[in-house]
Amino acid sequence: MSPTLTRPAPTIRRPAKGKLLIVDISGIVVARDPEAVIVTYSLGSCVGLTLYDATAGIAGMAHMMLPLSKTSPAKAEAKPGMFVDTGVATLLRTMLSQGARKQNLVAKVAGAGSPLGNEKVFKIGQRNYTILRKLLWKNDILIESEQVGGQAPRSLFIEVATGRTHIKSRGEESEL
Amino acid sequence: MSRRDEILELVNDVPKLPAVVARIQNLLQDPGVEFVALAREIEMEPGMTGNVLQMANSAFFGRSREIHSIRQAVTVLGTHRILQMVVSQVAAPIVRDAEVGYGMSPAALWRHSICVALAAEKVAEASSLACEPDKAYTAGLLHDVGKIVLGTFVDLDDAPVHDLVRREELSFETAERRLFGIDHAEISALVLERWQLPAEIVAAVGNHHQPARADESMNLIDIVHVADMLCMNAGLGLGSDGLSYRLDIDAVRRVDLAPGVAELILSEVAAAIEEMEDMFGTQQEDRNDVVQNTAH
Repeated sequence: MSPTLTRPAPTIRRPAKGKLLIVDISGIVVARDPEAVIVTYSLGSCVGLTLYDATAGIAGMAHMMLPLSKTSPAKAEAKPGMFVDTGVATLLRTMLSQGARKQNLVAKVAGAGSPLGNEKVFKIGQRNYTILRKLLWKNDILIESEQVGGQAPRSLFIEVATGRTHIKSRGEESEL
Repeated sequence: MSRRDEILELVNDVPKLPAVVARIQNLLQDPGVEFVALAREIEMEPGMTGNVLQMANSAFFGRSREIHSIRQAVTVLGTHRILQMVVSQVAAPIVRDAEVGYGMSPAALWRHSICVALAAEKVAEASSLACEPDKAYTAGLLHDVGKIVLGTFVDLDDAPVHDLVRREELSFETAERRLFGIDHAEISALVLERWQLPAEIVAAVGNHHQPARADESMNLIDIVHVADMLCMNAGLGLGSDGLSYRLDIDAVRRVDLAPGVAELILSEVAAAIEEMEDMFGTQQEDRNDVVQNTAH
């Protein structure tokens, strides 16, 4: 019998040039190109949401900064991805219009961190997360996995071909 | 030589600000300064006139009317706005072309600097604390300039800082002080002293992570602290130091933003980033760099 090898955790493969789709703060990206990888960097108290429909082969990601669009309806109109409420609605609508089906969607969430001692004020991360959960629940979408809270910055990747989702934080990569 | 001394030596390598900044600051000491004299100083600097005019006409700084000349800009926007714009223009290349540690690209540090400048100005306007918004902007813009010094030093190996932060749940600047005998806020203050900026701005920058440590409490310190924490919170230019800083609740209470105002400020800052980056010549590839190099 061959000895058991410890295999390193599978990492997201490096996409070809031009196939890495970057989601900036307040951005939303939906893709069906199987060679593409969608990524967002530097999630602090912002929340990153990925939605994936394996049957339709569609992946989407949003990097949302603040909980509610009532903070600034004008900015929400220009950049719906800035807020969790308008961001989730826009991401969902875009994916459904491209052929994804709600009952197939798998959701994963990262971010919603907070600085030390921040529990009592601002609470932006916690509120982002609470609103996000509520909205997904209302839409009958369950969060399959998540990595939220804490102080570490996180980058979130999703591979369009497989829907595999990874987190990179302070040099360490893990599957979400 | 101690690590602190080594770092202090590096402060002397930071380029000095062009003399025009000191000349304008001197002119502004005189409350009766003539607008024409101030405008002439700027008009004599190659490149500066165009850049200042571009800022004067931007959505963030500008007013409803179009501004065609430096003289008009000084009259319409006021003398302090002009200093603010000149400092931004001269600081931009120094930060943008630097080596920065903590897995941060210079473009990312510059983005963070712009964001904290804008946020500090807005916080100063919204807070009941007395503080001139233009000073808050300048302190915000330069609060992390010490990272370009520390960056050259820790870039080789910042693992010990991360280890200490993780092991003992320390804030980043506490870990820096423990390991290097100095933190990036104090280094920033030393750079600003070298640049001969006003003492109030130097003190605010030097204490921006720990307002309680300041010799005397100052509104400007609280405002820069809150603005910086808000921007870090929102991930506006995060390094691998991430959110490992401690929010000073007393400072937050003193600044006393009305509910929802902090979030409104962040939405305004986030909406202004692109225009500001365009104004300071951040190219698309740098912008990608901002996001990619803040991956950790």
